Amino acid sequence: MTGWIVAGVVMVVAGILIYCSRTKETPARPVETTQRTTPQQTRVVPLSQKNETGPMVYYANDRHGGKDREYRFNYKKVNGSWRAYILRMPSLGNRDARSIPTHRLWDDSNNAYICWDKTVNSLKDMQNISRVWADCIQEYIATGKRFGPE
Amino acid sequence: MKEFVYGSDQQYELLKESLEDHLCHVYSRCYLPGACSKNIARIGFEKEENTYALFIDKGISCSNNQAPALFKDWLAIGTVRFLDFTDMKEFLRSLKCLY
Repeated sequence: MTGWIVAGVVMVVAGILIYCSRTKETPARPVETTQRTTPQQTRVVPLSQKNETGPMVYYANDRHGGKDREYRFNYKKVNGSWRAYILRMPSLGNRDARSIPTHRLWDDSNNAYICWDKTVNSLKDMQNISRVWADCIQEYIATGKRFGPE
Repeated sequence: MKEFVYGSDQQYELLKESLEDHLCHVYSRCYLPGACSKNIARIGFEKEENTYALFIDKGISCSNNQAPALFKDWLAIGTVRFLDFTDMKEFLRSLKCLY
C-alpha cells in the first residue's frame, strides 16, 4: 500500500515538473546548431576576408517618426578600400538628391555608393560609416538639414 | 515563425546570447503566415562577425500583397543579412501584419 502511495506522489511531482518546464518563458530550442560549410566541407570565408558581402539591411534611427527607415548596402572592396554601395534607401522626396548634399558618388556602372574621402581599411569601419550616413540621410529627408563637409 | 514575430524582448535577448557561438541555429517547424505557399519551414539564425544572418528554406512564396518587400526577397533568396541584431528583430516584428 505504502509503495503505491509513494509511486503516486512521485508521478504527481514529475508531472508538475514537466508542466513547469514546458510553460517557462524561453524560446523554443533550436533543433540543430551547425558550422556552415559548402558540400565539399570547405570552410566558410569570413565576411571581412571577402571582397564583397552581399546585401545587408539597416533600419536607420529617425527622431521624426519616418515610416520608411530601411537601407540596404552591399559592401565591396575596391582598390583596397571598402565601399558601401547603396542598394536601397527611402525616397528623398523633394530634397536635393544630387551628390553633394546626399554624400553619394556613382561608379562607372552608375551604382551609387557613400562618398568618403579616406581609405577605409576595415569592413567594420565602413559599416559604421554607413550607419551614420543613413541616420543623417533620415534627418535630411525629415528636416532638410545637411551634414558632413561639402 | 510566429513565435519570433511575437517574441518578447527577453526571448530575443536569449536568442542573441545563444548566437554568440557563431554557429547556425536552426529552428524547424516554424509556422509561416497563411499567405505563404508552405505552412511550415526551417528558419536559421547565425552571427557572422558583427552582423546577423537569417535563413529560411528555399522554394517558398507569399501571395499577400501587403507583405514587406524584404520578406518576399528573403523567401526568394533564402537569406537576409542585418548589420545589427536589433535590425533583425525589427524585421521579424514588422511581419505582424501577415498574421
